[in-house]
Amino acid sequence: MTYREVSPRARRLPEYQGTTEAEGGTVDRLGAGPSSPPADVHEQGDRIPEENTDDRYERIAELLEAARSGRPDGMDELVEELTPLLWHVARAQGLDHTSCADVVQTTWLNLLRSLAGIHTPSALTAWLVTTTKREAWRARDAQRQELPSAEEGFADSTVDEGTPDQQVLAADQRKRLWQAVHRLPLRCQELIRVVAFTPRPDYGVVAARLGMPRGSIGPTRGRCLAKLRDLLTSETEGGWV
Amino acid sequence: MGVTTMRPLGPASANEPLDEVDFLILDQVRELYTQADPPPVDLVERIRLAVSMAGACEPLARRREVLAAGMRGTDQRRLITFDAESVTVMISVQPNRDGTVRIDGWLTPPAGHPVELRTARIRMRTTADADGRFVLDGVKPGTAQLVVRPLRGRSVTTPAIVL
Repeated sequence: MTYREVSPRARRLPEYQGTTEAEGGTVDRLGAGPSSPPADVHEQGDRIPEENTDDRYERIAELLEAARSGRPDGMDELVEELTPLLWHVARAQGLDHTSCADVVQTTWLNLLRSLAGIHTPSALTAWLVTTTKREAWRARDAQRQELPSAEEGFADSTVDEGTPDQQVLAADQRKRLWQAVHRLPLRCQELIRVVAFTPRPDYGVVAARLGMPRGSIGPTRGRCLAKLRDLLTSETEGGWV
Repeated sequence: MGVTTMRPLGPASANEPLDEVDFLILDQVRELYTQADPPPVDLVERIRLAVSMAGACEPLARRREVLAAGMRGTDQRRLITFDAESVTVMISVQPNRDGTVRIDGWLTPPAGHPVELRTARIRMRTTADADGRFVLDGVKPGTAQLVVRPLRGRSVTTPAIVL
């Protein structure tokens, strides 16, 4: 099998195609990676080289500017854009749903007081991820861990799009992806899960804020993603990639 | 894109730059968790509400400290202090047996200002005594914020806190 199978598979799973085409032009430019994250949460000086952006990053930059100038729609849309990321940061700490909802909400409320010192989307992402994780730790002390197990999830799930053939294929791929993710070490599971919801230029910043060593992901693949990719590609029957 | 067509087979190296296969995998991981473990459907709306309440055009008091008192055995009080230019609000938050919360508050400098507690659903009003003390009892736990409305001068609101 070769990597050239990406394109045919993208056609089989329509949700891939737009993403691949829309963002394909930025892939090569990601090589330089974000600058190193600030050592302290209050130091919000990270700057991303201008060429190192994508559409989502630029959109967040605009929303941040709007929020900083006091426009409520800016903050509203930032909340919508980045709450999923923060949700998964909190959930990856093993917190239950109720606590995670509180944690994410508290993080956003705390942001209101810190907004004046946050100038870039990367600084915003870093601040939000760090604060969410810290709040989650606080909340976690008060409850037992409730980690989703590998048995949950997609064992019996189906997808509701496409022809029956496509459904079987997509369900099978999801199940295998789910199983592969859960064969990773827990720290890798957390990293992959959170990074999947992170604006691309911020992968490295977010990994650092999750306490991962430098180079865990972005600009290079890093060990966690390399391992996941190997798990997926090593299965030859109906290969994943 | 033909970028990857000449790639050799074999294990993916951790030191290679991210390519579109990696982005494809991450896209699919995002899709996976979006379906497997999504945030509550109303979470974004709840947060927007809390943010809009906290974002009123009143001066925002800053939270100075959060102390779990915990000095007397099962004491579960939390002491929280909010500082604004015109007033300092210190509150003790204590759970009641019935699941509600009692808030004992002190205003400094002491004054008989009206005090309001706002949540997404209700507003509770009381007035501090001449020593600046006030009590709000039977409060349902959840996100709430306090607003001090001096008889003269501008109102001060605290950030929303989780009671």
